[in-house]
Amino acid sequence: MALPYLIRRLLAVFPVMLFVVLFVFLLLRLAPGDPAAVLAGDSATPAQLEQVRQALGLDRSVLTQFGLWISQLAKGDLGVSLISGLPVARIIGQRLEPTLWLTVLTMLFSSAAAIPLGVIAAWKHNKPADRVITFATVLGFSVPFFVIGYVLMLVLAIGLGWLPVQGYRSPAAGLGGFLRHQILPVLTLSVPLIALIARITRASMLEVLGSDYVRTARAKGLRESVVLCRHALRTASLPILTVIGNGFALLIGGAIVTESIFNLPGIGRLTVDAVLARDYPVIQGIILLTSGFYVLLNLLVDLAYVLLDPRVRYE
Amino acid sequence: MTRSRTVSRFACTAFAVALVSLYLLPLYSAFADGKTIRAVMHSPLRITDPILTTAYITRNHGYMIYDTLLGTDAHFQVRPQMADWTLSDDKLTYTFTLRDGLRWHDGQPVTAADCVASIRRWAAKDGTGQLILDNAEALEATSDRTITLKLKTPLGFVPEALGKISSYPPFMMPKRIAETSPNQAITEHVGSGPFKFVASEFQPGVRAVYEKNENYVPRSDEASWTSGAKRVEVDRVEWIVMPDPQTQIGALLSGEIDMIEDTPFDLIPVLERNRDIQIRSTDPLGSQIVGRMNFLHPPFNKVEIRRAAMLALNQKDFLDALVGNSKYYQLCGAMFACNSALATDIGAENLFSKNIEAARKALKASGYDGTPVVILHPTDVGILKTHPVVAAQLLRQAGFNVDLQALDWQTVVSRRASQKPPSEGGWNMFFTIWAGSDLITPLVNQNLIGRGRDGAWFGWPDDPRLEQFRHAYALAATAEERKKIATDMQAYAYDQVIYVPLGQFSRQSSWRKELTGVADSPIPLFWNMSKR
Repeated sequence: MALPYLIRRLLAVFPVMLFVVLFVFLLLRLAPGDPAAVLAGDSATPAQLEQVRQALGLDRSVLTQFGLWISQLAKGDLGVSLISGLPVARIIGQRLEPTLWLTVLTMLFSSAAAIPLGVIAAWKHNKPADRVITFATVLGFSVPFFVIGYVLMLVLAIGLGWLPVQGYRSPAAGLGGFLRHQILPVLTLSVPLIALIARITRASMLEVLGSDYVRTARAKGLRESVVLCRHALRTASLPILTVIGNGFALLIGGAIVTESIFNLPGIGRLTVDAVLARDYPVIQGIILLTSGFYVLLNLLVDLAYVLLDPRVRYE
Repeated sequence: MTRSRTVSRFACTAFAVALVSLYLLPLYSAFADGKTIRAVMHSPLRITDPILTTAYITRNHGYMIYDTLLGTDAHFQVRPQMADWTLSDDKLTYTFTLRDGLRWHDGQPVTAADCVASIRRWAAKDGTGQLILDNAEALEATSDRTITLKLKTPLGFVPEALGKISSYPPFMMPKRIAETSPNQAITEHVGSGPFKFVASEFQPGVRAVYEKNENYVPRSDEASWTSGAKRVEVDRVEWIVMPDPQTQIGALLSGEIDMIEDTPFDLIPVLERNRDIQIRSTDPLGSQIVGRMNFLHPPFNKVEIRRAAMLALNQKDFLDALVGNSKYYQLCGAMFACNSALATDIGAENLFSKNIEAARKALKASGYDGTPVVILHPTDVGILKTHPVVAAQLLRQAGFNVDLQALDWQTVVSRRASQKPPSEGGWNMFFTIWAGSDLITPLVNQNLIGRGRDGAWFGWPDDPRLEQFRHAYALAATAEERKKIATDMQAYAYDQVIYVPLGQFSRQSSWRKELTGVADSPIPLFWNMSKR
């Protein structure tokens, strides 16, 4: 892999993120709403509202506010929340862990379940197994997150009492409690992702299974599992990897709903709260974090292509 | 058996053991700890300075960790809390003496100088506090335990103001904290109240944690509302934020939480079927739906048109849309809240029945020219989204040209502060909900301030007569005198349609029966509450 390419890609992260934060900063200031009104409360008089606005520095020009924020950022300071007065880095730090665990476990579980399903569907093309899997994936992709979440909660937590209804336990406080609190949210969030990955795997495998080299492998007398997993799946994995990479975007969107249903104190809920309260520094901090995450994730996916397919070369 | 099969079998067994062990572990660590109350409050705590904001959740947080000089009981009587008081014969000098054993959470003794600084910070924000300081010749600490307030003219409501239960209650803080600008949030949370705030566990929008203040010395008299003995019977109280109402209900049924402060009306039947759950309104003053018109711009700058609009509105339609079950609401014309000491229905008679035909005639006679009525409609807050829809329909039936604008609540909050004409981003009417405790006297009811653009609440009525009523109430010496002034004020306010009360309802709290000692009070109180 060419090192200059890697350096170029890493350097490209900064202008992308700068553009994103500038765009978001301006967009937030153009949107209606006033954090001072949130802070002052429902019965504040106009004079009190103005005093709070001045105390927060919201009476300054947008350009001045942007300049102040960028200079803070250059020092590694994301600022403080307009509403709670706590440092944005601390707030995001507290909320990062539940979302990270939720997305990572969902991705692992979804991939582990979906790829075999996709492979089986392609292998048993047009047979009952394929039809059942295809039907299930269409269903899984069509049902909204909140329906899946409520049904699982109703049956497994409230009805049977097997799992807790809500909440988050850190793995540091015990693996058992952590896993028990993760099962329902991970299942909820996994359903559409399993459907998506399984469908892509099936389509990609179908294309590969018709290739000459697969026919040759079979003619050589290799076991079917070896043909499928070692030869076909590896070639078919590039589109699957792309979908898994993009799947993180789907997960962040789904995490907002899932975190609300299962009361997980993650980034998704923080984003909604911050937007509704017009807590500008917190929103900007989250956007900065997630945009950086996406850019790096895309880079990792691109790099993984090289490992999986020797034909791919970056100059 | 092949090696791969052995590996698969081992993996399956390990997985099964792991699953079983998960269930052998305690379901929820809370069950091991019977001395922690976990409650879902009506809204998330995000702002922790009770003098910075009037948000009810911040006020309630204030009651957990701070104490007040005086308290109010269930009979609306002001009683000593941190201090007792005397009034000089000429009614110009109040002397407050701090009781023994008062200490801040950091161990330092509470001094009169701390309390003077706290009163000053509170008075910079609170209307009644401003009235006191405007009339004060001196407010000073005359000894470590004595606060002296000398007035220029007698003010009968001083104890009432210092014992007021709702926003802003005069919470006492150490001097170094109370000297923070009232428009800047305090960063240290040290009070002298029955609970201590665990700042290290505070996650805004997620949870707030309080632990018992072991050094708190409760009063010996009976607890009633914010007065009397505040005995803490548990080790910790956790306020857990749970945005989804279905999840709240599930968590209460499964015992993961102990209490929901504000149970959604439509989910109450689910809880009623469970014998382990108690459901009751603990707030005797309830909450009122309020419609507010903008006095600055046509058409509601004309009293005849405001009267026609009020005639078109009836309380039952609003309450049915919001609450549904009449068990939880009451038709109530009292601007100072039903069940309060000043409650009367005078002037409200038309709000109890449908008068569309009369409204149509009144509107015609008023000379209304079809100017659009811009109603702000917040669509993202369940408890606020029904009123504008009901109002729009009723006003249209009466002949108004209504422009119902759907917005999110924060946009409504910032837009209602705009004094511009509706065509330039202003508004004509919006709706909100007030806790009864914020309406109970002419001095705390902000809807009745008549100071126009610069001093009145949103809508900005400029009405010197309202200010005369408020002033007279502040000076009144007896309860009878106050009642008479309040009744006259209400009749006048209805005649001028200063605002439209659209019915009173009781928020329902629900809790598991393991909790005992849940008190009736306009504020959710966690002292004297215990958990079996």
